[in-house]
Amino acid sequence: MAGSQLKNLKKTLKEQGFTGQTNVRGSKKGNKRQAREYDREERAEQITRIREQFSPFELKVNRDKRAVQGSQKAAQRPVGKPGISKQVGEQQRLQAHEARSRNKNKLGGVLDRRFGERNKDMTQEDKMLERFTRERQSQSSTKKSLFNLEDDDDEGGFGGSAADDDLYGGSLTHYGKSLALEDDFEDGDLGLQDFKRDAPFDSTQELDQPARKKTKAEVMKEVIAKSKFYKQERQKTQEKLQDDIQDVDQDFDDIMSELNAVPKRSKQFAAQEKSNTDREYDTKVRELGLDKRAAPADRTKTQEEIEKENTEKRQKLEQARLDRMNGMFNQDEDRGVEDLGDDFWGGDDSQDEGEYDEHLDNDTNPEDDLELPGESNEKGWSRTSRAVPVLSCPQNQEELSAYLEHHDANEHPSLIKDIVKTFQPQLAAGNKEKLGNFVGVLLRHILSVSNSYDKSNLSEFSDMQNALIAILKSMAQKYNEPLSLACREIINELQARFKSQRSHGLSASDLVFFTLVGYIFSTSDHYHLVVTPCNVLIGELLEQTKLNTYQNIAFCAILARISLSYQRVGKRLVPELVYFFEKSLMTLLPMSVEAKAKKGLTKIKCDSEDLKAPLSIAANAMEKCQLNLRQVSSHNGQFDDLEITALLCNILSSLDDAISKIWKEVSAFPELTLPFATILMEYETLYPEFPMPRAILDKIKRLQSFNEHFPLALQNHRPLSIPTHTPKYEENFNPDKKSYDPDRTRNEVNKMKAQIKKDRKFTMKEIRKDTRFEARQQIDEKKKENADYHSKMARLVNQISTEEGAEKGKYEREKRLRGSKR
Amino acid sequence: MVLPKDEIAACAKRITSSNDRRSYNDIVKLVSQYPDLSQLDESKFEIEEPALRYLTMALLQIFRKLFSRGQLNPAKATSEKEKLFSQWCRKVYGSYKAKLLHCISSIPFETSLALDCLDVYMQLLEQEAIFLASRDGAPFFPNKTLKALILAIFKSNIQGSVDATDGHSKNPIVLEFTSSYYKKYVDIQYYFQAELTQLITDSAVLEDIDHTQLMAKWISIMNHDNHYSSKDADLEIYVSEPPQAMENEAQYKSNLEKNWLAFLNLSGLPATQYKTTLLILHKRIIPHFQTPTKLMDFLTDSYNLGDDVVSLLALNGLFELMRRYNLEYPNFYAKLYQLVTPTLMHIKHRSRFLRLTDLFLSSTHISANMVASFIKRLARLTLDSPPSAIVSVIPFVYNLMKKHPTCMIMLHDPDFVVDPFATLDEIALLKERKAQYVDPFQMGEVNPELTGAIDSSLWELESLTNHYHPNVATLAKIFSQPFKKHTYNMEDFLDWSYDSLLQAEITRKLKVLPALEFEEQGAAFGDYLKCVEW
Repeated sequence: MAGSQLKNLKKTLKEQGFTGQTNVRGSKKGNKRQAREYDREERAEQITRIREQFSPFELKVNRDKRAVQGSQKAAQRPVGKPGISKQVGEQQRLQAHEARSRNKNKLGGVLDRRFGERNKDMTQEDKMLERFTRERQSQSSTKKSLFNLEDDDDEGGFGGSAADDDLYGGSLTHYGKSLALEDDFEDGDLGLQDFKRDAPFDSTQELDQPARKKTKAEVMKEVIAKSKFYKQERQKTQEKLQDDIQDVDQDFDDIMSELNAVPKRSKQFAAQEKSNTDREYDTKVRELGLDKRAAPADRTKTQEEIEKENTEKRQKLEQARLDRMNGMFNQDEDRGVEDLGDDFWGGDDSQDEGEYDEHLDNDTNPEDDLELPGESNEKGWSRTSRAVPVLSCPQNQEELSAYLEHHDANEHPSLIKDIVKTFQPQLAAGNKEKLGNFVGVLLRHILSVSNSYDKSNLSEFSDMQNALIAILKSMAQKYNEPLSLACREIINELQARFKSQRSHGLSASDLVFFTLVGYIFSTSDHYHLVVTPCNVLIGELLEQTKLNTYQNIAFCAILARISLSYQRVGKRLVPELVYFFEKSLMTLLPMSVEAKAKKGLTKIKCDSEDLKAPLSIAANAMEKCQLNLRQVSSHNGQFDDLEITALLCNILSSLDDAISKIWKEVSAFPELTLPFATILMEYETLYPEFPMPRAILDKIKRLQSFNEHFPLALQNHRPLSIPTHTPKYEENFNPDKKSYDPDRTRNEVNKMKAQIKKDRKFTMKEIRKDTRFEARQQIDEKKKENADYHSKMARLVNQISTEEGAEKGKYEREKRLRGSKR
Repeated sequence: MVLPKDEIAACAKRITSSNDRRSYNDIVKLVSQYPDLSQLDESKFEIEEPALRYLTMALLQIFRKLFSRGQLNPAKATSEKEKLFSQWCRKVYGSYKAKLLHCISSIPFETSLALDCLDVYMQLLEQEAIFLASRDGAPFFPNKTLKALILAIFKSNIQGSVDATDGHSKNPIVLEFTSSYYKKYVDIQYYFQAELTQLITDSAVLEDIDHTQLMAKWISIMNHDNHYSSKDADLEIYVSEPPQAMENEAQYKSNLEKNWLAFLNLSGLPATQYKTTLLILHKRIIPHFQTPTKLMDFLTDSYNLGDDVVSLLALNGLFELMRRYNLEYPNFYAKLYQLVTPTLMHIKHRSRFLRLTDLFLSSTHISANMVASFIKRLARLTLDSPPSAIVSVIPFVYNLMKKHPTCMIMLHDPDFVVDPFATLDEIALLKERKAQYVDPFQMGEVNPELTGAIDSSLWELESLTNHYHPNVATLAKIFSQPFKKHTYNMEDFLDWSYDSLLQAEITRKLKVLPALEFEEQGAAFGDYLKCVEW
C-alpha cells in the first residue's frame, strides 16, 4: 500500500463509510432510519477488522513449516492474540492484587459469608427470608453433581460456597438423618409463601453481586449532591466563625485598657538580683554542663553469659581449625595451599615476593596488654618492690644468659616477666620490635638450657622450664611473626646440622624444639608455615637416623611421640613413623640374624645387630614407659636393662596410640598393620608374661573387624558424553514422534522430565510476570500516594493563602476604615 | 749411577754425526745405563729422573739415526757382514726397547719418565713401521712391538691407581696411552684388540696380575666413544702404511668381544667396576660386539650378585639385548619384580630404578596381571617410605594406569560402586559382596603373574591422601579425580628429597601469620607430650 499509515487508515475508514460525508445523497433523500442493533454490531466488527489490519502485532500467526500442502492442518493455522491475552492476564492479576491488598494486614479471622450480613439496605427480616430461600434452593437443586465444575462459575461467589457444601456430602445430617427442613415443613406452613413470591428476584441478584458499577449519570448526581452538601456546610462554619470574631472584637478594647493600667517594671531590677554566689553558681553550672557526661558502664556479665561467650569463641576457633585442617581458606589473601597443585612438583620457582607485612600489622594491636600466666594473683608484684636495675631488653642469647646468670633457676621466670613488663609496647617506641626479638631469644634460651642440666635439681629445673614455656606461649599470641621466623631459622639450622653431622648433631634441645612447636602452633593445619617444615624434618630424622645406639633409638622414640601428638587432631598418616616402628622393633627383637631370616623377618635391614631388649620383661613393665630427655643428651650411651625395657615399652605404647588413634581411620589399615603382626607375634612368644604385644595384636584384630575392607571405587564420576561428529539419521523419521528411545521407562522418564521442564518454564514466566506486575503496582501506589500528598499540601497551602489573603484584605479594609475615621 | 749428561751428549753426538761404526759400542754402554727400576725408592729416583730422561731422549735420537741409515733391518742388508751388523744393531735396539718397557711396567709410582718412555716407544713403533717393512712403502704394522707394549702397560702397577668410586684406572700411563694413541688412531685400536686377544689366549701372563687393576685399565681404555666401529668416529691412522687386514671390521668386533668377555670373566672384581661396565654397556659396549647376546651370561651373573644397583643395571642391559637383539629372556619381569623391595624406597638409586622400570613397563604387550603386581607392590611400599619416594611412585602409577587401563579396576571396581538409586536387591547384593571380599594380593609371591594384585585394590594410595605433607596429599588425590592428564612427566617427580622439600618450605614467604594452638594443654612435657619427661 502506498502512502503513510495514517493516510491509509483515513482512506480505509472513508471507504468503509466511517468518516467523511457518507451517503450524502441518501441522507438528503430523507430515508432516515434509526441505527439498528445489528448495524452497530456490524460496525464494531468492521472497526476491529480495520484495527487488526493496521496493527499487525495484534495477531500472531504460527507458521507451520512442516505442514503438508493442502492438508486440513494448513488451512487452520493457530492464531494467537498476544495483546489481548496479555490484557486478560493483566486484568486477572489486578483482580488478584486487589483481593490481596484488601486482605492485607488482616490476619486470620472469619470471612463472613452470610448473605447480606453487611448490607445496610436490608432489614433483618429480609435477610432471614433471603437466606432461607437460598438454603431451600440449594437443597432442591438436583442437577448439581459432585464433579460438575461448570455450574460453579455462574453461581458467583456464593455459588462457590454452596458447591463446597455439596462436596462434603450435600447437607447437614445428624445420625444419618438429614437436618433439612423438607420433611417437616410445607412451604406454606409458616405463611412465608407470599414473602417468597414477592421477593424481587432481580434485586437479590443485584445485591449479591459485590458492587454494581454505577452509571455516569448517577455518579455525576452523587458528585453534585455531595458538593452541594459540602458547600452548605462550609457556609455554615464560615458564618459561625464570623460571629465569633465579631464577639472577640467587641471585647478587645476592654482588654487593652486593662493591660495598659499595669505599672511597668524597672529594667535594673534583674541585674541587681544577681549576687556573687549566684554568679559562682552559674559558672559552676556552666562548667558542669561542659563536663564529660558519665557514660553508662558496660553491664556486668552474668556467669552464663561469660560461659556462653567462651563456648562461642571456642566453637569459632574450632571451626577455623577444621577449615584450616581441610585446607579451606575463606580469605583470598591466604595463599598457603593454592600453589600446592601440580605445578609445585613441576618446579616452577616463581616465589611471590613482598606484601606480607600489611597483614601482619593488622593483628598486632599495641593497645591490649600481654597477659602473662600467673599474673592475676600477684598484682602487688611490681618493679618497685624488687630492686631491679634499669635493664635493657636482651637482644641476643648472651645478653639474656648474662642477665640471668647470678640468679637462681626459680627466679628466672619472674625475671623474664620483668623484662616483658618493662618493655610493653605502649611504654616506648621500638619496644615492640625489641620484644619481638626477645621472643626468639627466649626460645633459644629455653632450648640451650635444656641441653645441659643434671639430675640433682630436676624438679626445680622442670618448674623453671615449664614456667618459661608458659611465658613463651603467652607471648606467641602477640609476637607470632618474630617467633615463627625464629622457628624457621632453627629448623634450617637443625637440618644443616643433621646434614653435616648426621645423628651426632642431634641433641635433647631439638626434641624440646619440636615439642614447643607442637605446643604453641596449631599442628592440625593442612598447611602451616612452621609445622609443615617441622613435619618434614621429623620425617627425615625418623627415616635417616641410624638406629645403632640406644640413644638414637630413644631420640627417635621421643620424636615418634612428638609426631603422634602433632597428628592428635589432624590424624594424618606419617609413613616414616611406620618405618621407625618396624625398624626399632626389629632392632630390639632379641634374635640372631639367622633366626630372623628363618622367620622371614628380613624385610627391613637393621642398622645394628647388638642392640637387644633384655631377655625377660616383667608383666608390669608398661607402667614405667617414661623416657626422659637426659637419656638422649647424656653421652655415655649406656642403657641398663630397665631403661631398655622402658624404651621398648614406650615404643610399643606409641605404636598402640598410633594404631588406635590414627591408623584405624585409614583405609589401608590392614596393610599398615601387617608387618607389625609378625613382629609382635615374635615378641609374644619371646615374652610370654609381657602382656603388651598380645594386647596390641588383639586390638589390631578387633579394629580390623570394624574396618570394612573392600575394593575402592574412586572414579565414580558423572559420565561425560562423547562428542559425535557425524549427525545421527533416523530411518522413517516422523516429526510427531518425539523420541526414538527404545527404553520404555527411560522414555517415560524423559517425557516426564520434559513436561516438568515445560511447566517449570511456564511457572517461572508467570512468577516473573507477577513480580513485575507487583512492582509496577507498587510504583503506581507510591506515585498515587505522592500525588495525594502533594495535592493535599497544595490544597492546604492554597487554603492558608486564601485565608491569609482574606484576612489581609480585611485588615486593609479595616485600616482604611480607621484611617478615614481619623 | 747414570752417566753425566755431557757424557751422554758426547756419545750421542759421536754416533749421530758420523757413520763411524766404532763408536756404536757406546750404544750398548748407554742402554745398559738403565737401573733396575722395580725396587726403586721414590725420593731417590727424583734425582736420577732428569738424567734418565735425557738418556732416553738421546738414545731415541741415536736409533732414529740408525733407522734412517737402514742399519736396523737385517732383511735389507746388502752383504753378509752388513747383515751381521744389522742383527747386532737390532739386538741392541731390542734391549733398548726392553729397557723402555721396563720403565713403563716396573716403576711403582707416578713419574713423567714412564710417560716419556711411552711416547718414545710409540715413536719407535712408527719408525719400525716405516723402516722395518719388507720393502719401502710396503704396508706393515709392528704388531709384536705393540704386543710388548700392551703387556707392559697392563703390568704397570702403580699403587692406589684404581678409582674407588667408578673402578677406572688413574694410572697416568694408561690414561696417556688412551688419550694420545688409542683414542686417536684406528690402526692402533685394531692391532691392540688383535694382540690382546692373542695375549689372552696364548699365555697366562695376565693371570698373574691383579684382576681389579687389569679391569680398571681395560675400562679406562675402552670407556670412550671414538671406537673403530663407531659410526661417527673421528680417527686417523698412526703408521704411514697400515696393512689391508686392518679393514676387517668383523674381525675387530670379534676380537673386542673376546677381550671384553675375557675381562668380564675375571673373578673377584669389585661391584663398582661391574656398575661402571653396566653403565656404559649399551652405549659403548654392545654396539661394538659381534654377537651382543653373548653378554647374557654376564648380565645374569651380575643380576645375581645381589647388589640392588648392579642387578638393576644388569636388567637394563638385558632389556637392551631383548629390545635390540632379540634375546629371549623369559624371567626378565620376574627378576625385575624381585627388585621391588622395601629397601628400594629408602635408597638413593630409587629414581634410577623408577626411570628404568618406566622404560621396561612401557610395552603395552605385557600382561595386566604383571603391571598390577608392580603397581600394588610399589603402592604397598609407600606405606613406610619417605615423601620423596611417595612423590615419585604416585605419578609413576598414574602413568602405568594410563598405559594399561585394565589396571584401573584397582582404583575403581564398578561392582562396589554405591548407587543411590539401587534397588533393595542390589543393595543386598553389594552388601554381600563387601562382606565376602577378601584381599587376594600376596606380598610374598615372587612371580608377578601370580600375585593376584589385579583383584586387589590400592587402599595404600588412597590412604596417602591423608599424608602429613600437604603437597603429597594433594598429589595423591589425582587417583580420585578424572584421569584427564595424558601423562605426568616423571622427571619432575623423581629427584625430590627431604632437602629439596625443606628448601621449598623454607623459601616460602611468611604471608599469613601461622595459626596458633588455642587449646590449653597443661605442661609441655608430661601433659602435652605423654610418657616423656625432663
